[in-house]
Order: sequence, then C-alpha cells, then structure tokens
Amino acid sequence: MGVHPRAVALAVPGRPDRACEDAASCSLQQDAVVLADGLGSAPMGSLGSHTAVNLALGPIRDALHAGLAPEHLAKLLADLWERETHGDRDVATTCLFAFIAGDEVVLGQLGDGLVLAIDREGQEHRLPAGRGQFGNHTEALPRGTLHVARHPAGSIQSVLLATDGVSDDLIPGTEAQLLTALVQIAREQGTDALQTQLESWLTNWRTPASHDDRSVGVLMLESTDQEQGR
Amino acid sequence: MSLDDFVLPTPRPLPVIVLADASGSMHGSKIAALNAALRELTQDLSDSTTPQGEVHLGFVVFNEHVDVRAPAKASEVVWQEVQANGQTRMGGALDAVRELLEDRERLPPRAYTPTLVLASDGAPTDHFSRALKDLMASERAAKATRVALAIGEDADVQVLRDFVGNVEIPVIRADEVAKIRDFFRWVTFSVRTRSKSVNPDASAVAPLVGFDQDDLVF
Repeated sequence: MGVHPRAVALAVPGRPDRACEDAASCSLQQDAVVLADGLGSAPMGSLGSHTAVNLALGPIRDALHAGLAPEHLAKLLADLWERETHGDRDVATTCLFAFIAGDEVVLGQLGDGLVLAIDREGQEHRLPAGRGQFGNHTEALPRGTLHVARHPAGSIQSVLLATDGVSDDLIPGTEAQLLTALVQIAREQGTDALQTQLESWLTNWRTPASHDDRSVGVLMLESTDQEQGR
Repeated sequence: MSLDDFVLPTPRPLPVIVLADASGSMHGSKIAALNAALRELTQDLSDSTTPQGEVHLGFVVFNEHVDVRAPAKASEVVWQEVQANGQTRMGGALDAVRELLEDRERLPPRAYTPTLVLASDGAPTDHFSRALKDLMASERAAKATRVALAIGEDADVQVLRDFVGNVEIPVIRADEVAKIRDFFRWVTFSVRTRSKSVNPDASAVAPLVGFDQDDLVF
C-alpha cells in the first residue's frame, strides 16, 4: 500500500516577551516532523532545540533513508550531538520525531512530551516519555534514552508530537481524540488551515498561568489506494 | 468540538505541604505562635494563581495522631487551629506525606516540585529513621524540596538536618516564638519567588535574608 504524507509543525513562545526555546519543523516532502524543547534551565536551550531539529531532519533522516537500522539511531544522534555542540553542557534539549523512511514509519522520543501514533485499526501506539516525577523535569540530550519504534508505513494513519508545554495540559485520555480532530481539520480544510488553527490554539492557550513554550507536529499518512478509490 | 475542549482549564499545581508538630511540648506560647503563623501563611498564599501556576497548600499535623489535610488550592484553604498534646509521631507524619507525594491523582505529574516544611520543637517518639529512609527511597517523594524549623532549645536539630538533607539549606532555629512567624514569612517568600520564576524548579528557596547567623544550622 502506498502512502501520501502530509505534515504540519509549529512552535510558539509561552510568553510573548520571550524567545521561543522550542523548535519545530517538517521536511519539504512532508514525510518527517521533528520537535525539540530546549531546556530553560540550560543557558542555551534555544540553540539546543534548533540543533536537534537540524540534526534530525538532516543527517539522521538521511541515514534512515540510506538504510540505517533504527536501533542505531541513538548512537548516531549522540555522536552527531557531541560533534555539533562539542560537549557543551549549557545546551540541552528533548527531541521528538516521526519519519517515513522507505516502507516504515520511525518514531523517536528522548525526554518528555508526547509521541502518539494511531493505526488504521484505531489502535494507539505511544512511546515512553523520559520524564521526571514532576513537571519540568525531563531527560534531555546529551544524556537520556532515545526510545524508537517502527511500524509499517501502510499501517499508520497519523502521528501527533507535542512538547510538554502542550502534553502536560491536555486532558488525560483525550490525546487520540485530539489527533483525530486535527486530521479531520486537515482533510476538510487543508493543512494551511490546520496550521492557522494550531497557531491560534497554541497562542491563546486555555490553561491559565501556563507559560511553557508550546509545540505540536502532526504527520498524516493518506493511503494512495484510498485516494484513487475516491 | 473545539480544540480548547482538549485542554485543562486549571493551572499547574505548585504544592506546599507543612508538617506541623502539635505534641504536648508545644503547649502554650509555641502552639499559639505556630497557629498564628500558619493562619498567616494560608492567608498570604490565598492569592494563589501566580505567573507560573497555582499554589496548593496541605498540612500534616502530628502528635499522638497524624492528621492529613491534603493539598488544595491555597485560596480555598482555611487553617484549622490545632491543640498541643501527646507524643511526637514525626515518623508517622513522614509516612503520610510520602503516601501523598506518591499519589498521582492528588499530585499529578504536571505539578511542579513540591516543597515540604517541617516544624518541630522536639524529638520523634516513633520510627522516624525508617520513615525518612522510606521517604528518600521513594523516587517521587525524594524529589521534594525540604526545609525545617527547630522551635526552642529542645528541638532535635540533627533529625531536622537529616530531613532537609541538603548542605545548602540550613535548619532555621526559632528560640523565640516571634521567629516562628519570620520562618513562615520566609517560606511564603520562597514559594512566591518560585511561582514567579521562569523555571519554578530551579529556585528552591529564597535568600536567607533577615535571619541571624546563629539561627542557621548548616
């Protein structure tokens, strides 16, 4: 079964008067989404998040397309990170991603936040969050464990990525419904409309006194068989 | 259905739990001063929605019994005065607070790191050492920031130092009852400072301004 991917990713600052330390991006081909939450406790959190996104969308994704087995991603990410940051401990970030590589969807999560995939049977697949015991405690690059999962591309319908500024404020148990609602907006109104609505939603966040930066990524995999059938 | 319907309408909790000694030795001016200080703490934190979350205030009062008043929005908490009597079940109080901290329904993972405040004038009469060991062995409970007040000359400062477990945070002595209030004002200041911080978990306690060096036991 072939798939036609579409993707949306964006990050907004938690406070309008502060720079956003989250980073979010998707590939030009819309087959990859990456989010990173630069740690505010690290002096150069913003640099960290942008470095992680660039590494994930660049050499990490290239390596997957070249046939690197996903189980080697953690070592590759650690090595690339060391090379880029020269071991600077002032740079720390989480990293969440969803890639289509060949005939697989590869999901990755290092640190807190949410990586949720829904398959075509409606089943949820989550990666373990490397979070601490309370809010704002998380694993992060350069340390921490990268959790990776792979699924046949044809089996996955959509993937939601969210940094903790979003995931911690979601009503527990409603995450899959949220993803379904986002996919529905994209189907009915297009990805530009989804991007616009997400930006408004994240900027005018409902939770009071919540000033974490907020990022969301959505990867949607339309079956080309379905498209031809319509 | 709006996207807002998936988002919690409540701020992230910033929990503060006071473990208050109400044993018989606190009888008289000490328990009166403690009641007054905790009433003031409750009132001062009642304006509890801050730039980074919402202060939730709870109490564990211990003497012959252990009375748990689970954390709630500080704006909804009213301090119920306590009477001094009986023994000092400090170990029982630690057990109770550990159970509270491990309860993810009462203290969800989105909550900021809790602050525990222990105020006592004596020595525990129960299984304090084992209870402290259990507290520190709890992955969740051990993360809490801990501060302590030694009331009067008979307070077991070493027990309180063991509770704090941080060489950078001293036990504060209050040999005069007026200093009990100063301590809880400092607690209020610390909580308010944290709640306004960009990262509430990075600033555990406020600077120790206004205390005599003799009152600080590192």
